[in-house]
Formats: sequence, structure tokens, C-alpha cells
Amino acid sequence: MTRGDRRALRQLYTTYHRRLIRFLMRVTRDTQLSEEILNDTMWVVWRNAASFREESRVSTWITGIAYRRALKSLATQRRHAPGHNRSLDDKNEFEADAAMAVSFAEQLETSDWIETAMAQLSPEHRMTLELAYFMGETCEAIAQISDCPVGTVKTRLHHARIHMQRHLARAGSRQRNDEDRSE
Amino acid sequence: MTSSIHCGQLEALLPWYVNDTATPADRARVEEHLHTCEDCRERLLGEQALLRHLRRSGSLSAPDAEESWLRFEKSLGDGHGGHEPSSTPSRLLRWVVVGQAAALTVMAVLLTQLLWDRNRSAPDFHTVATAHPGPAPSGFALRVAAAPDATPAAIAQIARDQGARVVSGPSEQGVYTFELDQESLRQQALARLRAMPQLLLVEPIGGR
Repeated sequence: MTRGDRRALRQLYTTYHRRLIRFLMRVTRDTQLSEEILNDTMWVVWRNAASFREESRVSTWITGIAYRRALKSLATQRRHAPGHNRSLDDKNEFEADAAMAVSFAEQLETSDWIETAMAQLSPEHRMTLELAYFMGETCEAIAQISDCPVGTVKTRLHHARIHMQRHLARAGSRQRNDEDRSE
Repeated sequence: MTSSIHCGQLEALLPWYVNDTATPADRARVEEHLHTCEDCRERLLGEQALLRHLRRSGSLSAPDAEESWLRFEKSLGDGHGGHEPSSTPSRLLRWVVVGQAAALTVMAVLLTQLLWDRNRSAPDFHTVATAHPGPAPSGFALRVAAAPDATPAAIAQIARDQGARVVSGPSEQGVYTFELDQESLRQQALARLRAMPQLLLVEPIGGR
């Protein structure tokens, strides 16, 4: 690829398409935007293949580029969202996002509780959870991809898991109530 | 030989246990603890359920890889002999060139301002009457010029991730002052901050 071989690029593209597109679709919830982010990512990879220094695995490098592109897209979307008011404090930001999304989730009336719960997480928490559970990345790889310390990965994952488990418990209890009523 | 762990430690290891990336030593610790703790076995079931849900859920269907490739290849332009993406710059490439030119201009302005500030506010000598630039940082301070699209929240997060805090900023030019409590973190933080695309310039205040 460093010699500009398009066949190599095509092979890399199709390999990473499978790996990344579902991750991007899960975090953006938008098929077209996901493909745009993937194409931006592969364009950067194509143009910068020669500068890859092998300080990390190729997959970590490429996923890191996709992560930053996705985060930027999500940040742009959120800035344009009505009533958005960002806080400098990460914890407040996390809770504010969750509170804002709860009303949205209620409107959705969807049975797919996991999508609803994921939508309540901030982009950083959501992507950390996806990288760990959906992509099966190690803690250290997530730190490299997210360009943050390992401790931050652990903290984000801890908050995200607590949120998801709480939501799972609530969804389970709602489901049991529905079943009781139908009997 | 494994060392026993308590429930809190197990809780932190569970994600890496269920996603199968825990080290053999950590796996052994987790399994040893699970043998003796019913609460943690319940936790494990919860984590496994979450992992299964995340891996199978998702209502959107993924686009076909070949179709995506054709769209991507088209955006690269008509290369010659299947090598260079395009002999004429694509729309994206033109935007990158324009963007880089704009970034260089911004950097030049910021660099001028930073050097001016440094020369003006950080003399090589100090007297009792010497005033500190802006707020008086008690630790090690860095002046950081952010990219135009970087939000204050993102910059604050970056600072926190590096063990620093924002003590002032942004100025009209998007310049912040970070403060680090520990000198030992300074070189590490400097290198990491300078590698971040959201930060155009990172300079220790006073050239220390």
C-alpha cells in the first residue's frame, strides 16, 4: 500500500469494512454517515500508509483514526442538537446526556432496550463500551485508539456498565410486569 | 500460583474476562474468586448477558462491502495504472490543502502571540515585583493553542486525561493555560499533548 497499490487498498478496505462498519453504525446509528466516516478513515490510511511507524498494531491505528472521525461527527451532531449545553465536568456531562436522552428514549417506545440505553451514553462512554464488548479490544488497545490513559478507559467503562446494567434491570422488571399482566 | 482478589477487583476485571482479553493470570484470579463468591457469579452472568446483547443487537443493516468500495474508489478519482488516487486533486484533497493552509496561518498567528507572551511575561530573572502572566499557576504550566473546532469541554477532557487542569482560557485566539501538579508528569504530558490533532501548539510557560 505504501507504493500506492490500489489492489492492496481494496483488500484492506474490504477487510476493515467488515470490522469497522458495524462498529460505526452502532455508535452513529446512521448507515450513510458510517460509510462516510469509514471512507474518510481509509482515505487517511491510504495517504499516510508510509508514515505508519508500527508503534501499535495496524488494526489499532486504523480503528483509532475511525474513532476520532466518529467522535468528531458525533460532537458536530451534538453541537447542533437543540438544547444542547455542554458541561466542563465529565460526570455532569455524562448525567446531563443521560437525562436528556431519557425523555427521547421514552418517546421512542421501542422494545429494543439496548439501543435506547446506548443512546443515553455520551459518545466517549458508548464507544468505549463498543470497543470492549462489540469489538473485543484489550484495555490497552482501547487506550491507544481513544488516545487516553488506561485509567480513563477503565473509568468510562465502569460508568457505562453501571448504566447498562441498571437499564437491563429496569427492562427486565418491565418485561416481567408485562408478562404478569398478560397471564 | 494466583493471589486472591476481592469483589471490587473482580468487578474491574470482568469486562476483560468476558471479552476474552484478560491475561491468563487475571483469568485465573477471576475464576478462583468466582468459585467462592455467589454475588460475583451473578455479576458475571450480567456481564455475559450484556456482551451477548451488544454483539447481536443493532437494527440497521450494513452496506455491502463491494458497493461501499466502488463508491470509495470513485471518490479517489481516476488514477493511472491503479496507483495514484488522482493526477488532479479531488474535492477532498482540495479541502485538505485549503485546511492545511488555514491551519498554518492560524499556527503562525498563535506562535507569534505565544512568543510575544513568553518574552513579555516570562523574563529570565525574577524579582519580588515580577508579575505572573494571567492567573498564577502553582504547579507546572503549559500554554496550549487549540484548533478552531475544539470545544472547551473537549479541551478540559484532554487536560484531565493528562493529569492537568485548565486554569485559564480560552482566549480570543483559542489559547488555554494548563497546570500540572506533578513535575514528573510534565514530559509525558507534553509529548502526548503535542501529538493531539486538536492542539496546534503546546509550550511550557517560561520555557522551563
